[in-house]
Order: sequence, then C-alpha cells, then structure tokens
Amino acid sequence: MFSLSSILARIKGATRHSATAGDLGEELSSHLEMLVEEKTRQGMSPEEARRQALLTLGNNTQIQEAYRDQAGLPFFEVLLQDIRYGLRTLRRYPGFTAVAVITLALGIGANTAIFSLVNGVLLRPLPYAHPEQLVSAFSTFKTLQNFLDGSTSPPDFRTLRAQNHTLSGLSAYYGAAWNLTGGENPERLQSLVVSADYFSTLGVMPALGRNFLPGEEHWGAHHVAIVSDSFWRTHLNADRDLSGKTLTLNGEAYNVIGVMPADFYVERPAQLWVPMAWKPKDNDDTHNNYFISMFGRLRPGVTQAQASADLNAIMIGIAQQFPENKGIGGAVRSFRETWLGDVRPALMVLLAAVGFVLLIACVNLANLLMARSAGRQKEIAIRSALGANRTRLLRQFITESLLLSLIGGGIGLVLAYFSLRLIPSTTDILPRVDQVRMDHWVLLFTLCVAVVTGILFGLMPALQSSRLGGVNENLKEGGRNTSSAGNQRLRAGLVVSEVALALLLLIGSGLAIKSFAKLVHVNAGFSSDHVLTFTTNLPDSYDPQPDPLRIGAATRVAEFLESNIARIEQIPGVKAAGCVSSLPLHGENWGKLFVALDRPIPPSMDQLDHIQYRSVLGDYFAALHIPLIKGRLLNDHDRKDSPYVAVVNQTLAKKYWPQQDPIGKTVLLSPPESILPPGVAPPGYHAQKFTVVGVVADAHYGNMNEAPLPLVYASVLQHDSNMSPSFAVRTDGDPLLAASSIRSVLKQIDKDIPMARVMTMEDTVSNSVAQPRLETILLGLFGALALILASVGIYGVLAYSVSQRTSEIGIRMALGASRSSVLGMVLGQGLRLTAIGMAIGFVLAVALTRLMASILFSVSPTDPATFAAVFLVLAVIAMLACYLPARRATKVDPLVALRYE
Amino acid sequence: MPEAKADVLQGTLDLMVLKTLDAMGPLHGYGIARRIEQVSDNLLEMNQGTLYPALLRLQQKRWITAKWGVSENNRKAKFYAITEAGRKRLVVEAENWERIAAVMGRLLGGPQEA
Repeated sequence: MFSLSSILARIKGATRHSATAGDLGEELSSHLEMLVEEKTRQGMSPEEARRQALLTLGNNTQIQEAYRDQAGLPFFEVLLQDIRYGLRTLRRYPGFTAVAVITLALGIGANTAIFSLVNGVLLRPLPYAHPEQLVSAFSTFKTLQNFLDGSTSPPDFRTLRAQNHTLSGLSAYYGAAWNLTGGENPERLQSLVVSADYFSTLGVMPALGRNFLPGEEHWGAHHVAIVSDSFWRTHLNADRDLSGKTLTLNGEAYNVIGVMPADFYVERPAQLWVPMAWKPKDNDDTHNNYFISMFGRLRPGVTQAQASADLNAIMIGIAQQFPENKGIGGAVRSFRETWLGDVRPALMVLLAAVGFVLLIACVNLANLLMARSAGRQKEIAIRSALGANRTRLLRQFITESLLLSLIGGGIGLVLAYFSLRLIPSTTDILPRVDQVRMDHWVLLFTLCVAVVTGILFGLMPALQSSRLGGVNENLKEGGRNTSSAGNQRLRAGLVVSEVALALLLLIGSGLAIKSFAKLVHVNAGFSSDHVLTFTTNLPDSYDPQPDPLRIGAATRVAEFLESNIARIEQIPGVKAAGCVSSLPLHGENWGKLFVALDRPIPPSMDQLDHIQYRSVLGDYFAALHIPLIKGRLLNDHDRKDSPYVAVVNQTLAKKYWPQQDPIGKTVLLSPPESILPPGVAPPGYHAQKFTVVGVVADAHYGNMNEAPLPLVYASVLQHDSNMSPSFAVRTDGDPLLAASSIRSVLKQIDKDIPMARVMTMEDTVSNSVAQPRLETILLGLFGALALILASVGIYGVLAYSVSQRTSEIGIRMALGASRSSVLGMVLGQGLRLTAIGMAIGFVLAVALTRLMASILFSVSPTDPATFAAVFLVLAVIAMLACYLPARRATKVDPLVALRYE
Repeated sequence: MPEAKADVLQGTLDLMVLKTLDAMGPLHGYGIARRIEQVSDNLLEMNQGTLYPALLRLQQKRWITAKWGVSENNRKAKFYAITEAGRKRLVVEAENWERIAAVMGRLLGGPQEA
C-alpha cells in the first residue's frame, strides 16, 4: 500500500511538523480570501461573505489535524503518544509499577541467565570447521558397556586410520601431565599427546607458527610442542618469534613450533600439545593397552551408521590377526553428543522450570492488571467518550504492558549478567561453562521473551478493559465498580493455572532436593575431612627401561614414593600419609582382567572379567579412613620379595564369594598363560598369584551417583604402578596448612618434580557434586519463586474479590450471617480454586517429572513422599493466602458497607 | 484512523482531482474545489478537510506537484499540476472506475427480484 517514496515523504513530514503546518495555514488563508472575493462578487456584504466563507471552509483545526495525519507517520506518532502516556500512567501507579517491574525483572532475568547457559554450553557451535561432521570413535567391548569410555589402543588406532574409507580424518589423543622445569619452580602442565593430524582433523590451525608434520609421530622426531595462547602469553612473553624457543618437559627439550588461537579450546583443557610417538617395543604401544581417545571427520554423505560399520569391520579384521583383540569392535557417535550429551537433560529441565516461573509471573501480572483496569474504568470511559475507538484503547494498553516488560527485561538482563558471574567457570560444573557469554543471541532471546511476556500478560486485561466502554454507567458519579461474572471467572481461571504451575515446579524442585540430599549422603567409603591430596608426575628417567615382566615398580620410583611418604609422615601434625595410582572420585580409570582361581578359568581372553585396580603404598587406607571390614590391610612388610597379597573391596568380595570367606582366596590380576594366544605375551610371562588378605569398604572412585565397581588393591612394590601417583595426607589441623612443608620435602627429594593438583579431599568431594548442586540450587530457587508468586496471586484475587463484595458481605451480616460463616465463605472460595489448581498440577507433574528421571539420583520421578510434602506445603501457604482476605471480610461493618450503596 | 467507508470516497476524490488537473492545467486548491463543485452542478460540496490531505497524498505518491505562484487576482497561492506518473495513474483509475460504474449500472438497472 505504501510506496517507498511516500513513506520517505511522510518521514520528512513527521520531522518537519511546524514548517508544513505554516505552509498549510498560508494556503488555507488564500483559499479563504478567494472564497470571500467570490461571495462579494455575488453581491454579499464583505462581512456576510467572510462569515459564509468561514462556514463553508469548516473547522480550521480539524483540517490541520487531517492534514498532519496525512503529512506524518500517524502510526509512530500515536506510538510515541502511547509511550508518553504509558510512562505517565506507570508513574501514576508507582506501587503497581514497582511490583510489576520487579516480578518481570526476576522472571525474565532468570530466563536470560539459564538461556545463556544453554546457549553457551549446548547451542553455540563447537569452534571447529564443520563441527557437524565430527564424530567420536571408540572401541566397543562385548563383555562390558563402559570400559574406559571406549578408549582404544595405539596400534588399533593406526590400523583404523589407515584402513577406513568413511572418514576424511581420524585422530587420537590422550591426556598427560608434563613437568616443566628450567623456571624458578617446577610446574606441572596439562597437556594432550596427539596424533600429528589432530589439528587438521579439527580444522583449526595454529595462529602462529606451524602445525605438526606427519613425520613428527616417529620416535626421535617428536620433540616439538604447540602451546596454547595463554601459555604463550604467560611463559613465552607473547614473543611472535618462536625460533629457538624450547621447553624442558620431563627433562627433555621440546621446540615450540606453534601457538593456537586464543579462542581455541578442546574438551580437556590443555596448555600444550605434543605429538604421539612410541619408542620401539614400548609396552603402551600394544593391543593390551586401551587408553587413547579418537575422533574423526565423516566424509561427505557418510552416515554415522556407515562409519560405525566400517570401523567395526576393521576391528574384527584386527582380532583375527591379534587374538587378544577378540570381542572388541568399533563405533562412532556424534562428537557433540559425546561431549555435551550428558548435560542436555539437566539444562532442559532448568530451562523448562524457569519458563514456568515466567508463566506464573505473567499470570500474576495479568491478574494485577485486571484488578487495576477495574479502577481505571472511568479513565477508559472518558477516553472513549473523547473519540478513542476500541483498537486505539487496546493499543494503549498493550503499549503499557510492553513498556513494563521491556523495562523489566532490561533490568533482568543486568540481573542475569551478575548472576552468571556467581557460577564458577570450572568445567567441573558444566562442560564449556567457561564459554558462556551474553552474546547477541542472548540479547535477542531476552528481547523476544520480554515482548512475548508483555503481550501475554497484557492482552487479556487489555481486551477486557477496552470492552468496558459503556460511557454512561461508568461516568455516573458513585458508579460501582462491579466486574462482570466473566471477569471473575477469568481471574479464577488464572489463579487455578498459577497454582497448577506452582505445584509442578515445587514438585520438580522437591525431587531435585531429595535427590541431592541422597547424593551427598552416599557413603563415600572414606572420610574426606582433614585430608590433603596432590599428584606428582615422574619423568621417564625414573624408569629408563620399562620391563613388562618386572614385578613391582622400578627401583627409583619405589624409592621416591617410600622416602616421600616417610618424610611427609615426619612433618608435625601429619597423622598418616600414603600414595595411590589415582584418588577416589578421580574416575574408574584403571581396569584389569581378573580371575578368581577357586572358580573355573574361562576358556578365552574375551570371557575374562574386568575389575578396577589401584596400586597403593604407605598408610593410604589410614590417611583416607577407608575402613577395614575383614582381615588385614597392606603394610610395610609386603615387599617385592614377600608373598604377593591383595586387598579387595566389598563389592568384589560379594560378587565372587557371596557365601564364603574371601580371606585366603587366590586371584590373578592378569590373564593366565594357559589361555593366552601364542606370541601375545613376552617370553617368560607368568601370571602373578595374589592371596586376598583383607576386605575394605567400597570407596567411590567414580561418580558418587554410580555404584562402585569391584576393585583390587595391591602394593606398588608387588604389582603394576603408574608414573603419576597421587598422595593422600591426613593432618590434625587445616590440611592446606601442611602443603608448604610437603612441598619443601618434595623439593629436597627431587627439585624438578612439581606438587600438582593440591587440594583437600573435601573440595574434591564438593566438586564431584558441583553440577547436581547447581541444578538443585537453581530448581529450589525457581520453586520458591513459584511459591511466592502463586501465594501472592491467590491473595490478590481473594482480596480483590472481598473488596468487591464488601456491600454483599455487609448485607449478609446485617441479615444475621455470623463472622465464621463469612470466613468460611471466603476461605471456601479460595481453597476451591487452590484445590482445582493442585489437581491439574498433579496431573501435569505425573506427566512431566518423568523427563527429570535422568538427573535424579535414587529418587523416583513420582516419589510419593515428595508429592505429599509439596501438596502439604502448597496447601498451607494457600490457606494462609486465603485467610488474610477472609479475615478482612469478617471485619466488614454492615453499616459502613451499606452506606457505600 | 480512516474508516472503511472513507476509502471509497478517498479514491474517488483522488480521481476527480487528477482528472481536473489533467483537463484544466495547473490550479490552486480553491480552483480545484470550485471546478469540482461546478462540474457536479453543486451536488458535491467539497470538504477542505478532505481536499488538502488528498492533495498532499497525491504529492507523496508523486502524481502531482505543488509550486507557490500568484493567482489571477494577484494573490499568493499554491498551484498543483499533474505529473506524467499522475496521467498514467489517471488512465488506470478512470478505466477502473468505468468498469465499476458499468457493473453497478447493470446491477442496479437489471430486473429486480421481488
């Protein structure tokens, strides 16, 4: 309808108001003069002619108005008018405005904050080229579902990379810690050891320097490193010239060849990347060691199923050549899903919850607006008497509610910004949480939410108010503000929906709280108070010639651990110290094949059971207070040359010897020679036999919400140990105070070995439940908000209805109704609405809490106790909200009430 | 806000103004109003509150131009003239109008049903 040029002309007109008006004035006056002249010519007296001319011409102001409408942009002018008027109205009702803006700011702010999390964690594309093509590739084990997250072995990886024809790239990596020396203090660096094509598969190149070359995967050529941007800034002075820059990592010099872009990040935070290379005959580089992770890039047009089939076929081929691979297959899964799939349900539950909170807020505001519009009936009547039609009034009301929601949204944005800063940006809580920003998507989301909210809560009251156009009765002095039955029904409906939503939210938060309470009360199997832990990382020089046949740790490793423990235990205030291959809650990360010799030995490798293994030394069990259930603990007399002994956890004891005494049973922690295919084990291999000497309680090595796996402990001196042992130290006082004495002990023994990941066991426990804690706090908060909003809503509607019915109540009381019957009448009205709302909420809850199942720990989504408790709480609060207005109704003085009439 | 009823009148007025300017050459507002009244044998009474906004609308659509000039009686007045685009529009609108008029004529003149 509008052409561009006429819109431009109108915009010009709108901005040049006075000039146009002046122009028109002149034009009209010349028109008038011509008219007068003609009338005079027809024989009228000049005065009569002018009078007649003025009559013909009509109302000057009206012409000017019509002209101005045509000249300018009436839509925007009206909008500006509406906004000015709206702001005036908001100022006129400061109480209402404050309540509405605060409610909206909380509601929209909470939505913005949660959406920022969802956006940063789930929605933002992974920072790699064509991230949708990336897949994780992993090994599948016939006998076990979750063995080491499907890690693979180096030779399997190389075969898969060479033989597959569904992936345009397949890369591997594993996490490692390196000791950086040469500075004042040794430092432990988090790094990733990667195949040379790692960055090209991701499609991200170093910002400075070069990528790895394929040849650098070969032993001897591998002394090159690519560092992160932050490492480059903190350790290399951000020098753009990398030539001659070397790092001493575990005592060996590495050339820095590249620096990654500042915004590059991967799932495991890393400060540097080095190529994956194996020295000849390295035991890690065999089919027996599954510890590296793989990811690949699908060729165009290839599906995940096709790639899985491809990798699986190659794995089956490998197993024909290497019988120890029997039963191991391959598969792929979306990279994104592997990384973020676990947190999606939790975030979606939070987003839904916060959306419901906003809905309740909308219902409340709609209620408030309707109550207020009753008070504005006179104003509305005057406006319509002065010529405002229904559309115009509707527009005015919607403008007002949009103003409110936009102001609320603006404040909400600020609230969200600050509340997001309260969430620590550690990936313990949520993956990628350090990537959460309030970007343009978040701003757009907030704007949309604010607009939708404004229309949602404004539309119904606006429709209703604009219908109240009956000028006469409303302008009548003393006209009673009686709202129609329809109005009452609508408001009752709003209360019912509010109560239903509140019940749903409260049940959701109740379930989360109960689940969290159960989680933190899980018996961890150790006590975390007064324990300091740290990790060390021993360079290869401590074990220059690894020998798969050697019994126990290399001499230097054993000496290092023993002297360390002995010296730490001499520090005043230290009660016990010990070391372990990896600490509780650090993951079920060392699996071994297990045979209980009192049972028949399975005929082949792939039928052996997997168990968890930890090597320990010193007073590890005493340091962590892992209780002894039966038999004895490992002690200083269990040495390399004494009988091989093991301690098992209760889960293992129950699994293998449910009705028998485990003490004295003989077990193997490696496959028996009899079933090993020829050529797999080195010559002279002989499976060590261990005698079970003790049973200890189940300590949680994996997540608190998972049942502990069967586990065997053996001494570092008698069986396999690792090169990154952790220490646990029990102290009298604050464990962190012991850290500096321990650091100096460590420095005396080897100044190049850093004391890494120094933290209390309590912090470790607390971090392990950080994500469920965050979920619980947020859901609890939303539930509380819902409860407050809903009770305010019930109160508001009842209070309003009582004030409307003052005269009716007065008459009833004048006719003899007792106070208690009036109280009952009002209470009954409120409680009936609450009951209907709760019934609907119950149905909703039964239908929807199922979606929470995956984030709940040992609580059923329809847990009757939680449902009952929430019903009770909501009922009590609703009763209170009903009681206050009901009591006011009983205070009605019949005389005063009737005088109103 | 113009009502639906006014739209028909508006279109008709536009057509009358365009036709007048096409036939008479440049004219001031008063002249246009008088001319339309005369042609209609004073059956139509021009409402200035409609005429001047209509003249503005036609300018915005670039169908007419306006220029200050001096009237036959030496009075300062704004003269309106039809543009090339306005003439094209006039042809289209006139055909349109005739078609509608013909339809209306047939409809109203046809046999009436009881």
